[in-house]
Amino acid sequence: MERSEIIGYHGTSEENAKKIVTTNFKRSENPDDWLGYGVYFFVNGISDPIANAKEWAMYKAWNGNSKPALYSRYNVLSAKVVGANILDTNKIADLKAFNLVRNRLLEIHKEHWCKDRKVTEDDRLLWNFAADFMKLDVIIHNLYIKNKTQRIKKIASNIPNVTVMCVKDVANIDIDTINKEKEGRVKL
Amino acid sequence: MNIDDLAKQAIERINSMSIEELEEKFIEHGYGYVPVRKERKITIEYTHKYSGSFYGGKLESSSAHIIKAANQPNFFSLEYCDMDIAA
Repeated sequence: MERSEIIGYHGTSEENAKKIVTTNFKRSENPDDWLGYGVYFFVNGISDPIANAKEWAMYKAWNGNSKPALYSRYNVLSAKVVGANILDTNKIADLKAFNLVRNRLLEIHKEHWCKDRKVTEDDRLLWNFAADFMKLDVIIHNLYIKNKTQRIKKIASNIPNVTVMCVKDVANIDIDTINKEKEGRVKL
Repeated sequence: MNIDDLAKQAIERINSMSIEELEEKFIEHGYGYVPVRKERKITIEYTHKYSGSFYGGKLESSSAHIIKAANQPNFFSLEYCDMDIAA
């Protein structure tokens, strides 16, 4: 598989952005991990990735219902990601490949271990497993992430509105290409 | 290598791994998930021996419950009620 270059956009606080520029991104391992462990970016796809990254930075500044915000200024960074093994779920062949691996994992799990919702209902574990066993560098996937209006009105949906990229290893991110694309004041 | 080959290799790797190795992978990737193995069958063996019982006589009695879980012979074993009374 040829190595491909993809530009990703990441929204965060100004303070955090300064750290990223000097020390590179850090792999996330928390409940926001839509596609398992990794560094997350918005990419070209369904909607404008820079606007998506800004929206995300605003959301992460929101401190529940209380003010003030967790941070007052945001940055949108861009970075070049280079990877050989890229799984893009916008491609039917890639989805089929992922499902083959997922089905085998679920089969073998059913055979040997008790049923558990972490396996049967949590895609993050399966994404991690598939990425490890398929030696994936990058996963690209469409998701539904609420924007401000959708959050306020609590609009749920399973129709994707953004395209995200999960980079499994920070070594695939070219630190020399990290660039500030946008900055501004947080408005909740 | 194309995506189909990556999937084939992944499945071959899954199939070649031991249950213990796969368990470690589930823990590594599972956000706190710890796999619990199926105990397919639990058998309970019950034995009881009893001989002679009468007032002023001799009583010998013993019983045991041995509980075994399949694939885990040492799951636990409980023996109790060993009684020997001589009047």
